Formats: sequence, C-alpha cells, structure tokens
Amino acid sequence: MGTAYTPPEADWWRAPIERTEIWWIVLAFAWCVFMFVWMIGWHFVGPQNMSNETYRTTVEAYAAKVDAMTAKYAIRKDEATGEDVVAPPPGSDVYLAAMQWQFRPILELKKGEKYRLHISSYDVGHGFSLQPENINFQVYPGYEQVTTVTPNKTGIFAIACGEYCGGSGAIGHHSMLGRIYVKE
Amino acid sequence: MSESNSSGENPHFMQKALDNQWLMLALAVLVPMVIYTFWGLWDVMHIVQAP
Amino acid sequence: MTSTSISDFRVDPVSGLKIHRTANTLVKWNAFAAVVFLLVGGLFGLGVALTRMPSVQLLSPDLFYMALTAHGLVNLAVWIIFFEMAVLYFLASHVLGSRIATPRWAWAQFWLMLVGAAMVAVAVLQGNSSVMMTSYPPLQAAPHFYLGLIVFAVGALIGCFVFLGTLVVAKRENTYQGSLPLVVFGGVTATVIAVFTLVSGAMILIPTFLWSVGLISYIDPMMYRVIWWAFGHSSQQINVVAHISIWYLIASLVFGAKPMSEKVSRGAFLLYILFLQLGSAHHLLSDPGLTSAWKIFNTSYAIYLAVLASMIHGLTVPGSIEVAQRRKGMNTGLFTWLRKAPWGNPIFSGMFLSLVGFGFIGGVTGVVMSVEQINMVIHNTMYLPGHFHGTLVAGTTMAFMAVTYWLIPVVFQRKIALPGVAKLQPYIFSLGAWVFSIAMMGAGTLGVQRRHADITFAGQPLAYEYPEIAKGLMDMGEIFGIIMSVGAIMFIVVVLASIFTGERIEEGSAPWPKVEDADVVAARTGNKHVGMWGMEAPGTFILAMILFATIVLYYFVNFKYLSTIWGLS
Repeated sequence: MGTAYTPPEADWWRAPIERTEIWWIVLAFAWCVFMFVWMIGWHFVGPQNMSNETYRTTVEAYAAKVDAMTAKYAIRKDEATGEDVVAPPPGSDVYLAAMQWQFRPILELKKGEKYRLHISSYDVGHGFSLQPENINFQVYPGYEQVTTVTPNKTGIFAIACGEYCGGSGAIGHHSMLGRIYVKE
Repeated sequence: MSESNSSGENPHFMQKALDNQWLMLALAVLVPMVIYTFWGLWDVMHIVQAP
Repeated sequence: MTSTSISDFRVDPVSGLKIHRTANTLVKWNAFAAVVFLLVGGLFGLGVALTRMPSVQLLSPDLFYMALTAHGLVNLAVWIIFFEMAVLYFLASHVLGSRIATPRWAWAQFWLMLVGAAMVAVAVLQGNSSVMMTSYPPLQAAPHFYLGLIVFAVGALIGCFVFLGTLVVAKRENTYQGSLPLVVFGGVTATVIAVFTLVSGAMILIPTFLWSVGLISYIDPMMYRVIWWAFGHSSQQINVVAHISIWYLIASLVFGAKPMSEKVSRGAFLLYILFLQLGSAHHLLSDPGLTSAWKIFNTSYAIYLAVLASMIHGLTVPGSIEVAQRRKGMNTGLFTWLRKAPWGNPIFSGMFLSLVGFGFIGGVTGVVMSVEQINMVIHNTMYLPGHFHGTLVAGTTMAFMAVTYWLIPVVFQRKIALPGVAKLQPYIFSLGAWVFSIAMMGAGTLGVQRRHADITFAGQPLAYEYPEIAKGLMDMGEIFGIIMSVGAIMFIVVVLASIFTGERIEEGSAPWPKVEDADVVAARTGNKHVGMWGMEAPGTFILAMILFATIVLYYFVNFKYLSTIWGLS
C-alpha cells in the first residue's frame, strides 16, 4: 500500500525520520538561516544596498527641481545631441527624470564622489538601467526615490529602460536612453 | 515506536491539523495577506511628501 | 447522499484506479484545451524568439510587443492553469475513487476559463492591449483585457472549490481510509495557494477594470504592483506545488516508490502553504517606497523556510526512487539505481529532467537573484526570462508533459502513438530549454534588457552598444529556443496523434502490468535494509550535496560581482 497516491499508514506523523533526510534538513536549514542573516548583514557592511529613502511627489514639483538643477549646473552642450550636460557638485542632490522615451538631463559626475541621485517619472513606469554597470531600479510617476551613488570608474555610461513603457515603430521603450559621463 | 497507534486512534495533533483542508485554506489566505499584502500596502501608504 | 450506479465508474485495469466517468470527461477537456493553448502560446513565443535574435529581428516593434504580451499570458497562465484544472480533478476524483462534486460547477469552470481566455486574446490581437502580461498602470489596456482575466480567474476559483468539495464527498462516502494520499495533499496545497492568488487577482483587477472604463479615476502604480504580484507570482508557486506533486506521483507509478517520510514531505508542503506566497516580494526589490525590512522578510519566504521546503522535496523525490530501486535489488554502488532507471520511458525521463532543470537552473538562480542586493544587478534584464524558463519550462512544463504520457492511456484509453518520438521528446525539449535559459541569463548579466524589440538602439544619438558576446549569447540562446519549440511541437504531435489515432485500449483489458510497490517486493525478498553509510539514499544525498555546493558557490560569486559596481546606499 505504500505509495504517494495511496493513503499513508495510520500514525504517519509519529513514524521515525530516516538519516538521509535528517542530515539534509539540518544542513539546508543552516544555509537558509545563513542567507537570511547575510542579506541583513550586507546592509551594515556592504557597499551596495537599496536605499529606503522615498517621497511622494508630483510631476510638476519634480520637473521644477530638474529644471532648477539644470539651470544652475549646465556646463556644456553634449556632442551627440546638442543638449545641456549638467555637472552638479559632489555631495549635492542630482535630479534625473524618466519620460517617454528618454532619461534627462544628461549628467556628468566625478569618480569617487558621493551624489544624492533622485529618480522619478513624468508619465508611466520606467526602469533605470545603468550600463555597463547593470544597476537597475524601478521608476514611477508620483514617487521620488533617492539613492546615494558613488561612481567608482570613469567612462561613458548609458541608461537603458528596463520597464516596458509603450511606443510605436522605431521610437519607444526599446529606443529609450540616457547618459552619465564620469570624469576623474 | 508507532505500533501502539497503528489502529488510527489518537493521531498526533499535527496530523489532524494537516488533514484539515479548511485550516490549510485559512492559513494560505490569511498569513500572506497580512505579512505580504497588508504590510506592503502599509509601507506604501506611509511614504511622506517630498520636502 | 446521491446514488451513483456502477456504470458511472469504470476501473483502470493497470493502476486499479476507480474512475468516475464525468470527472474523466472533465480531465479530458481541460487537458485538451491546455495542449491547444500550449501550441498557440508557443507559436507567439517563436515569434518573440526570432525577433530577439539579433541576426534575424523578425517582427516589427508593434507586432513584437503584441506577440510578447500574448506569449506571456497564453503560456504562463492559460496553458498551465487549464492543465492544473485537469490535474486537480484527477487527484480528487481518480486517485480517491470518488465521484466529482457538483459537475455543473465544474463545467462552469471550463467554459468561464475558455471565454475569459478568448476575451483576453481578442483584446491583445486587436493591438491596443500590448501592456505585457503584467499590465502595470499608468499603462492601460482595453476593458475586455481586464474583464477576460477576471472571468478566467473566476472560472479557476470555481475549479478550486470543486476540488475541495470533491474531497468532502470522498471523505463522506468513505472512498478512502485515513489521511489523504501525499499527492492529493499536494493538490490541497496547490489549491489553497490558488485561492489566495485568485482573491488577490480580484482585489486588483476589478478596480483596474473599473479604471479602464472610467469609473475610477486613478490607480496608484505602487499599490497595483504590490497586489498584482500577490496574484502574479503566487500563480507560479501553484505550478511549483503541482509539478512537485506530479514528481511524487511519477516516482510511485514508475518505481512503486514510497515517500521516504510522510511527515517530512507534508511538513514541507505546510511551509509552502504558510510562506511560499511571500516570495512575490522579489518582483518589488528595486521598487521605491517599500522598506528593506518588508523586502528582506518577504523575499526570503520568511527566513528562507519555503526554500528549505523546496530543498527537502528536491531530496525526498529522487530519494524515494533510490530507495525503491535498492529494495528491488539494485543495491550496489552509489548510482546503479539511477543508471538502471528507465531512461527510454518519457514518463520517467521527463520527470527527472524536470527535477534537475528546475533545481539547478531555475532554483539556484532564483534563490540568488531574489536577494535584495543582488537583485539590483539583474532586475528587468534578460536574466529574468532566462531564470523563469528554467522554472516554468524546464521544470513545470516538462513535468506536465511527462505525466501526460501516463495519463493518455488511463484517461483517453489509447496507447501512445509515435513512441519513438515520445522517447526523444523530453531530451530535445530539455536541451532547448536548459541552454536557452543559461544563455539568456548570461546575456542579462551583460546588461541586455528584457521586453526590448530592438537590441541595437538603432538610430539613437545616445546609442549604446552591448558587448559582442552578449549579442552572441542572444543568437545562440534563441537558436536553442527554437529547439525548445521543436521539443514542444513533438509533444503536441504525439498527444494529438495518440488521442485521435492511438491504438484503443479496451475497457477491462490491461495492456501492461502494474509496477509492483517497492515495499511489497522488499517484504517478499527480504531486502529491507538498503543503502550505505547508514543512509538509505546515499546517491541522492551526493546529488543533493552537488546542488548545495552549486548554490553556495553561485551565491558568493554574485556577491563578489556586486561588490565591484558603483557604491549605492
């Protein structure tokens, strides 16, 4: 009668557990506890963690912050698009906006410095995806998420969109880009 | 060790609990509804306005 | 008590199962619908694969996004849930030898799910609902997109209660004694999780539908995501429970295997009931507004207790096969029992490939990627489709295919047609799915985004170029995606050929003998004490240790990689 598709013996809860299973359960449980503690512990000792700083905002209020920063800290025109490149000072609040279908403004940061990077959307959900670092956050309208970022390499970084956001033909989610220059 | 109860009388309380499909249904719905859904919505509802 | 005459039932001569004819018809119709939707969804998937292959780029963006929405919904939801309805009726009625409770409600389940699926299909194919399966506001689909999903979900919810009701009938009419068999308890686990899933779906899809017709003015995107994923991921957890139950079933059918410990296996299912749905949080780890406390506790399935449950099943299923084989005389060495398993029988090969694929490809990557911090470097890249083809295709779909080869003779009373094709099918399908998954995860690690119609960012002044190797992985991966499709087509051809042209099995005739229960063989031959080093399943323990080492290594490799990126806090 002993199969998985027939009823078990009468007192099955009290039946003893065989050694193979006991050893495996003990080992697996220890690893599970370790992973839980490590994930918490990384918040205290690890250099990369999710920020918990989020605010409610409106498209208008956020756009005003973006425009104010751009007016104050634009330093040149970008070679590729002719738009402003904005270089906010180290330690300051940096405002990046996602919109159908680009991330703006184009930013320039310094290697080794900390910046309070704010991100929000002007319309639908987007995904901030910094390449080639492969750092990814969700971006929503009405929500302003603040992460302290410290670029640790120089170069030209692209921002791609990881969250489907519509579009038609050549222009849309798959063509959405932004850029961050990191200098010494 | 288990021969004394092989007639099926006096099963262990855990055996009775697992045999109770309505208890399992209540647990499956209530536990994640509180820990995942309600706590998550609480977090979202308590986000403060931007300064 | 309803009186049922003898002719309402027939007895399967091989397994001895007492089959209620009405329940059997319901199993047939739900399983057949499932396979038709597998084909439809698979064809959309082929369109997606040929577009994401950099050297082909078949579909225009608009068609691509439509095909992707359709592929996600039809394969992720419709094929799988129809099949699960068939499995639930089988578990409650065929396995317990009971009449099905309320057949009219069971038919309502079938027709509501079919009508709902059709409504969603129409909405998507009309072109204005390419919102992906997740349909996140502020993106908005047509009203009948949401309404179709709601109707489909109501049908599925009815199916869940017909299952639970049949269990009540079986108990009352004494069709079995004692506790439910383990596989039926697995069905209970799947069903109660499904109720949470569908209730969560109603909580979010009904307001979203009202928004799409203008009766509600605003849907908060974060609240939507929290509640939608309670529906969206929990629906995948149902699949895990269903395919694990099928693994136990196949182990007993093919080997006469007995669960190593009913307490351990059912205890693991209890951990699923309590904590498996919490894992939906892993979709929200990169989101604003949710605290790390919520994220960490939920993404870990409560201190990884539901992961412990998966690791337990990962050992006890093959362990039960090893014990059964050893008791039947294959007690030499560590792996003789596995070498001498019937690898030419697609019921077994499909099941074992599903176990290995789900564990090593889906499971290892899933545990690691759902760490709050590591998620930052994989979220919304091609790593995700790579991972979930490892769980859903290499795992769940392969297991469903494997059990179908056993179900067709029992439910349809036909022998498997094209047995040569059937024998090869699990290998081709798994080869395609495994390499596809691994290649996609590689491309995702290199930054390739998911849900993108054009990998080249063609014509964009700020254009970014992915590394050559990433594009190479996409090309190679999608070729194996095509192989995976071929494997699926082989399955569909065998199923249709068997159902319509397979050699009929006359009622009462046993075309082959039942596999003997291993503990019966052991009692007769005296092979009660098997194994080595004091363990009954030492070979399985070694395999489990290999899985364990893989998880540990992969975990630390990912943290090392994480530590090299920009500082974030």
